[in-house]
Amino acid sequence: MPKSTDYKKEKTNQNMSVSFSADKLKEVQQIIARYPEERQKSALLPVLHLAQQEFGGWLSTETMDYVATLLQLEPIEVYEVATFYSMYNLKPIGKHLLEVCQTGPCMLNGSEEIVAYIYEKLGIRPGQTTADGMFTLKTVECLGACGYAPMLQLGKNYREHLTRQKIDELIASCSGQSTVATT
Amino acid sequence: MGRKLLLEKANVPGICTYEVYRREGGYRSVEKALKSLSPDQVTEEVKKSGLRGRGGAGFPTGMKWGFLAKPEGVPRYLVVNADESEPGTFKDRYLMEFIPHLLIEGMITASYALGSNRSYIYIRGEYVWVAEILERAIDEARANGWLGKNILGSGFDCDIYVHRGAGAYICGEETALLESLEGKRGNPRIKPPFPAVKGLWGCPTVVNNVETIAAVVPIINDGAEEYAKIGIGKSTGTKLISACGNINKPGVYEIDMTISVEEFIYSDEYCGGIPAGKKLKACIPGGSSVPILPANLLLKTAKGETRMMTYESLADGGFVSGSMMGSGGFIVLDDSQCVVRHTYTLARFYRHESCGQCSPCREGTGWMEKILWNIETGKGKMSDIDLLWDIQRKIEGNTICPLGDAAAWPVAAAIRHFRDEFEWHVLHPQEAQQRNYGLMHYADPIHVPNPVMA
Repeated sequence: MPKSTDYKKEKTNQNMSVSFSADKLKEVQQIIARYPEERQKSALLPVLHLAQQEFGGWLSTETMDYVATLLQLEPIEVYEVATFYSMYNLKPIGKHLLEVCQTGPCMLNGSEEIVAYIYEKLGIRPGQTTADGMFTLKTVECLGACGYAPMLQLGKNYREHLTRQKIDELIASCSGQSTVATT
Repeated sequence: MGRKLLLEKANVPGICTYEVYRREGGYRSVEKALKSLSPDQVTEEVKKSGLRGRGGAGFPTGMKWGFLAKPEGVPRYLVVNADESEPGTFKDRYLMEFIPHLLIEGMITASYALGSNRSYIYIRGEYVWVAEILERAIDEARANGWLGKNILGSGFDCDIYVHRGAGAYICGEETALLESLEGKRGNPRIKPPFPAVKGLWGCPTVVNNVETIAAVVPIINDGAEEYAKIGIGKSTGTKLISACGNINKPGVYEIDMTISVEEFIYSDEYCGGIPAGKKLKACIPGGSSVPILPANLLLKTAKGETRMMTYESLADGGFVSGSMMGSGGFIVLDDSQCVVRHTYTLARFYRHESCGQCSPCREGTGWMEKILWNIETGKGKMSDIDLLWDIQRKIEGNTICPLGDAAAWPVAAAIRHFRDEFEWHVLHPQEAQQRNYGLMHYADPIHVPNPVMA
């Protein structure tokens, strides 16, 4: 069983109780069943995705410890994985995470202007969150949408062939000021 | 109009559903393989087809399958590499998104050949919706008896699972991918042992790219000889090229490997030329890791021959004057683009994606990024260009996995072919902030010396 030190407790979000619902626990069992017996460590990446989705969009130490318990792993095995992959957020993020691709092909098609325009609209630079906690901006490396550049990822979806107008619409729809469907 | 084997049906309405895919002739290769061929015969067909790995390395697929160890009582695994993250590459996504059953069909046939009863698709974490499409296709295949126990009464059991990564380019390297599939950090393993002997959970494993496995379907359906008839020399069959950058029609194109690079860029059937009246300056023909070529060397080899879209022709001249087919990520730069800035974004990419195991890569990628940034922002020195050259040479070949080489090559090629653009940045730091170097001599005809008559 992983031990929770006071230091860890301090860092976690006290308002969030870290425990999957019965439905989600069933999903965890289904994920584990994809792998041979005794290989439940393989379920770590998908279960971390699920945990991040369920517990506020990021992985607190408490969440990681909980995942360790579920999969019968040492906490360190979870931490070393969570810190390696770029999709796991180790700090709280805004309600909407804008991940703008900035690698070569997107740069050729104006990704830098997109990042600058988001700053103009929201006043946030990469790595920052708006004061109201609505938006976090992140620049990311190649997301495999090079032909549809410039692009960003918002939640599950890719938003491609971005223009200033599309950014306007996207921000408006996230802010609930518009009924424009952007999905 | 070239022949299409993979994407021929990709635009049929509803092809992503089982009913339509089956109606259009889907899953015939599984029937043929399981009912009339032995696993070894399937492998033999793939060998004869000349199919080469479509992920980047171009290794003969049949040979890779032939290396798979088959010890008694030890499970074997097929793992499909759908981690597509090489900048410029988005072909596998297209295939999985539009015609997912083609991959599932290829996987069942390949699993039969390899004796894998449990096969995995390792897909990059960001492709969330693509993973959902694949899972739906797998459920449909299972519901219709193509997966599960005793498929078609053949006694062969097989199931397929989708495993999502979580954002790491390095997991496209096959041993890092296996580590990640085991729930660990994506640190590449030292080879040997190769995955064919000790792969997933220590068992013999074949890792193949999505497009490679999809190509098994037409090979089994039409026979290896038919497949090998398409293309030139050792570049058999068709290849998916994902074209991007400064072109009129970015997208995924299936080419039979008989067309020239020039035709690919300028023909309306493919990229449709360079937009806004601009000119072709440079191109990375096979994903960000392969050498960039200036327009003149891209269209013609150093010998003055027309460069073709084949493995051999793209590599003609080695790294001195050629490049590679790589993953088929075709990145075009027009004359308004800055090669230094573009190279900088790639260096930043590799620094971000280095797993950190090997010092030359972990440290060297960061140094290259910094130096390139200095040159780009007018703070570079002439000696920096030589320093960059020195660093990339010290990375190449000195790391566990090919990410080191992949980080070194773009920098090396940029300096090799565009050294005067780097020097211009150093000599004119202010001017370089305001405008780009432009096309200059990069599209000039190459001087080909007359062959000496013996």
